Amino acid sequence: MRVAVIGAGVMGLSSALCIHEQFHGLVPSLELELYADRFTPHTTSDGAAGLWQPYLSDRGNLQETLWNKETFDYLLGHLHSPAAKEMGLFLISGYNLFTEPVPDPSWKNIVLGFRNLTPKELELFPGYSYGWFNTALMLEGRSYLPWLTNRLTERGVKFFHKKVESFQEVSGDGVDVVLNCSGMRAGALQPDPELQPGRGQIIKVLAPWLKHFIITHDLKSGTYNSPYVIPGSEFTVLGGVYQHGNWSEENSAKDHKSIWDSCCRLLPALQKAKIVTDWSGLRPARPSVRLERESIHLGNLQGEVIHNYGHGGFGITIHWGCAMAAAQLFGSLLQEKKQLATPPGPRL
Amino acid sequence: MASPKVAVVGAGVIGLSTALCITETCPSCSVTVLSDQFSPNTTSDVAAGMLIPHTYPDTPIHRQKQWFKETFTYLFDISNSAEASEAGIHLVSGWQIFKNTPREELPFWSDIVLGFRPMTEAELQKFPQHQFGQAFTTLKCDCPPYMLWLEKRLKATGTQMYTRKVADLWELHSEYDIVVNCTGMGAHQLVGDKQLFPVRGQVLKVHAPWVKQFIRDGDGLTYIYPGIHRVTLGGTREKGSWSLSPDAGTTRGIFDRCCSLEPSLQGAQDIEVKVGLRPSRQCVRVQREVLSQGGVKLPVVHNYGHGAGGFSVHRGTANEAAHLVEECISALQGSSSRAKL
Repeated sequence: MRVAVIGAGVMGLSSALCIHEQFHGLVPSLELELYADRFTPHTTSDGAAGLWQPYLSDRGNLQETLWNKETFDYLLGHLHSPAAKEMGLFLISGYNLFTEPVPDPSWKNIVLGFRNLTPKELELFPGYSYGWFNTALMLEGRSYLPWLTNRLTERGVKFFHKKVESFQEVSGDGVDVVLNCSGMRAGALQPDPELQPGRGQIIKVLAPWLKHFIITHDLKSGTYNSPYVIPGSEFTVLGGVYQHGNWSEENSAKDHKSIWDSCCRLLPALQKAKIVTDWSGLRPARPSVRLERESIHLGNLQGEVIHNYGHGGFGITIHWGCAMAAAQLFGSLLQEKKQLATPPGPRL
Repeated sequence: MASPKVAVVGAGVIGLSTALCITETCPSCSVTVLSDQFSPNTTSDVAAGMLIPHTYPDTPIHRQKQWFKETFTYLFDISNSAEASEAGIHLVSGWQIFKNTPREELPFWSDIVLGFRPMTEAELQKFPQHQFGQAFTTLKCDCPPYMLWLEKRLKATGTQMYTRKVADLWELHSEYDIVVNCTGMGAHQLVGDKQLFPVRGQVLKVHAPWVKQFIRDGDGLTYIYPGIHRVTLGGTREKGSWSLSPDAGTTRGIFDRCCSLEPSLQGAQDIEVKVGLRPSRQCVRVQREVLSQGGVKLPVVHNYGHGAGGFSVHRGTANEAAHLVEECISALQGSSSRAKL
């Protein structure tokens, strides 16, 4: 049973790990191969600050809220494990700021200690009159992706540095299932007009005195188009750009200035922060995550593809829930192919 | 008295902040700081500098609350300004946890820190040995940055600072009009205050930059305080111990206790061990006194004995001491005009 995974961002690596963990014992012939043109630290996931926080609105996708919760609970359970530091996993508290009262988010009971901000706290943020405080998790891509890669390597998963141009390319030659975690470039493998770039740019700075994340919201300009400051284990990420339909991965001086000025207005102490570098990336935005099976015709053969892409700006936040769902789809596939006598579960 | 000459003895957080307050309330004063130690070699440099008050048994609570409030407000404004990183002042959130629910669930300072509330069940799950906890956001004064920032502010006012061991306050009477005694533990010897006793504290300063939250056991013995570059792990409260030498067994104990609250600390690097003697007293001594020898008088203002709570109340006591200095000046001016009759 050969499985080809396309994509080495957080989705590709975690889905591969999840499938291998659940099925290698049950399917001795299981072989996983991972194909990608970009590996850490050059993936979209590497640019993300790594803060677990869904969008304010679940856009009607309750399933996504469940996947977010699964991810948070999974990570929280690993907080005390010896692997936490290597994974880049740690607790962090912080502020969400608004210029007017807003309804509580879908994730208020998932994070720890969610509450409204007090008037005294709001004094810290002139121009904002409402907000939340909560404790969430950071999962830094620069640590998590290498950690996932190591776990996969230990398990004998093979990696191929290759730009895949079609499903057929990887699914010939005995590959039974393709796991499509190609993120922003999924449209090149199969047209998907719903998948659009949500271009982001960030400035990485050194500001080690900052211990809280601060995310501002401008309900008129939309998600991530308002300044945010997210302290990591080494660098602090300044951001606040979301450009729908913009495919440029080049840093823009105009965006840099806008981010820098708005973040320094928010936190005057940032003026003393040392700028390290800028980075731009394309959030693989979609009205909803595409996580489903598809049968593909390859000449006179039939192949199965499991799609797992379109996670926008909440990839880290939702990744484990999606990896588990992808593994579940894989399991049902195995059952159909009669590779599994019974689905994985408690033995009678 | 055109330009009263004030000597502040001691250059820890109390000495420096008191000197600064004096320059603010009495711009005509000429202030000099004298100390045998300056940052980074003061007791203040060992402390984490967390604004979590210690309760003094014999100081009225309303006075302690006033001191804390003034200090918190002063530092809050700095943390909110462009100077925050230079001054080493930053906000930090976290938890104070208790193995048994304390009698007093709401400490006197709960409405001064930010967002104080009981911990939720979900939060307490992280600490299976603890039944109750409080979550809040407070401020931290990182040293040496805060001390260096105070020194810089002082220099800008024209305040001179000299390394000098003062063996007896009286030795200053010919050079200075008023002496302010901020000698901390040194007051035991300097003014013979037997009510002042050391409470030895050993801490570890480690590199663990992923730790963003503080955790403090309500018993005061185990704490994890993330600073700008280092995390302070503590600690001990050894009453009556004068030893400034780090103890290896204690280091092991502190590390183990902190790791049991925050397992990721196993990965901490560059462990540095430090020891400080908290200058402890049943009540902080903020008081005027007049020394006299052979008809010559020397007004003294004492500001020492802050024990475990120095950072938490430093600005409040410094303000009070500065007002006492003003009173001394008025008294001197009154007596000098009387002398003219």
